[in-house]
Amino acid sequence: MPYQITTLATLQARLADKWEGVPFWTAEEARLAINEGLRWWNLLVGAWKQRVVIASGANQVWYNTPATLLYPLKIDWDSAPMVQSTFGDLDLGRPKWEGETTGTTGAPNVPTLWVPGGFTLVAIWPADASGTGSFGIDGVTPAPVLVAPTSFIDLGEEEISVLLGFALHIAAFKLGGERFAATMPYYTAFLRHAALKNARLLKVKAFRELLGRHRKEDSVPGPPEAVPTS
Amino acid sequence: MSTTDQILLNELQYAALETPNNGASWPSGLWTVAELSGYLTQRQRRILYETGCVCNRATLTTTPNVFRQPLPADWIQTRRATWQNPSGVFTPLLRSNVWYLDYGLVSWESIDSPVPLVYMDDIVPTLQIQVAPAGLDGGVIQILYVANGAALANTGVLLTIPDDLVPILKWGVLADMFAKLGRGHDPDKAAYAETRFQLGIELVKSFLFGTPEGGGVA
Repeated sequence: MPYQITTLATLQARLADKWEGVPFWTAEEARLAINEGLRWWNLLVGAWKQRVVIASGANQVWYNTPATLLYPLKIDWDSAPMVQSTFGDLDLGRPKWEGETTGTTGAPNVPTLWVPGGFTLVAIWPADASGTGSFGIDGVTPAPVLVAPTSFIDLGEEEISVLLGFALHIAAFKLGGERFAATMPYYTAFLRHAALKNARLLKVKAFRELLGRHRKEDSVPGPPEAVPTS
Repeated sequence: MSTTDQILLNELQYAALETPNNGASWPSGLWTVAELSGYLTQRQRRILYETGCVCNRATLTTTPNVFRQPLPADWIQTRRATWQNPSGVFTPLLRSNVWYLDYGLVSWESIDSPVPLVYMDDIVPTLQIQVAPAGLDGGVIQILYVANGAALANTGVLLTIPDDLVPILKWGVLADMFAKLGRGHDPDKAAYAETRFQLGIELVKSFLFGTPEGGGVA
């Protein structure tokens, strides 16, 4: 994918190309619409990611998700991958798990499982008894917020185009009526492109309904739709 | 979280064709500052409740042989509860309800047990949790719960939800604004905004709890 650095000024100019020269929208509205588009894109596909390393605490089970992450995707212990689990699995399968450490007889000697508690908490089993190790957390970061004209994002051109269409759709909401309805294809194109990047979206019923795909068969990604030539 | 209620209110003013002034006033007269504050607060609490995206932990000191214990004042939903005895041993409490106990453990209200088996909140008064059987060993209840969001009154208060979820809140508030009966009533806009809000809720829930077809993280 041909990444490029695109500035807010460029995005605003390209968005302004999509609407009439009469100033019905301000540059600030364009900026807000673009930033909202970035946040929805990040929610849909987890576009921006980061790795954060945190030190372990002795016998500590619960950790706060690093503030720079929106939610964790993967955690490793001293570069050894840990397996993601759930509270249900641990509570039912190993009821005493919360009190166990790497020094507990019968427990693994390294942290092995991790469980997210919402976006903001993570529990580890077994807890590190020594407190001298580290966890590497790969997760999705919040979407960038473009403020200055020179603020930039790194997205491929194919994503910039659907993003701008979606931003136009957001900005057009205040118009209402037919003019807003005319921007709905930009919205569905944005969602469809997100589904190409993240096939799990097709498992979300509300998402499928927005694309007009109501059948269970539609939850499986199929071949790309044919593009009309006329 | 770095977005304040005023930042979001400013954005809402653009979407509602109002003069943007960080929500200080709504010159059209279609909405009031208090109404918008109410919409913001209620929708934020709905996001927190329906998704459980922001969880907190609390330790509840218990009274031996007492079924019902008080919950934190900001509690809105329990996600998980465990019993920790004075020796530090944890025992998960499964979620149940009084019907199961009445028919599955008929003597639950009179038997003694050092450690409770289940917790429930279906028949208790507000802000109380009930464990059964009542614990005797003086242990504590550790809960993972969803706390109430900050009251948003157009005073520059930080939102409780992560910044990336702010668009979900925005569309929820727009749905409330245009659903208001009166001169500002626009059912088409309200319905559309509500679908955007629901999509956001379902997306967050799919991250945390998976989909009917599987997946999820919590």
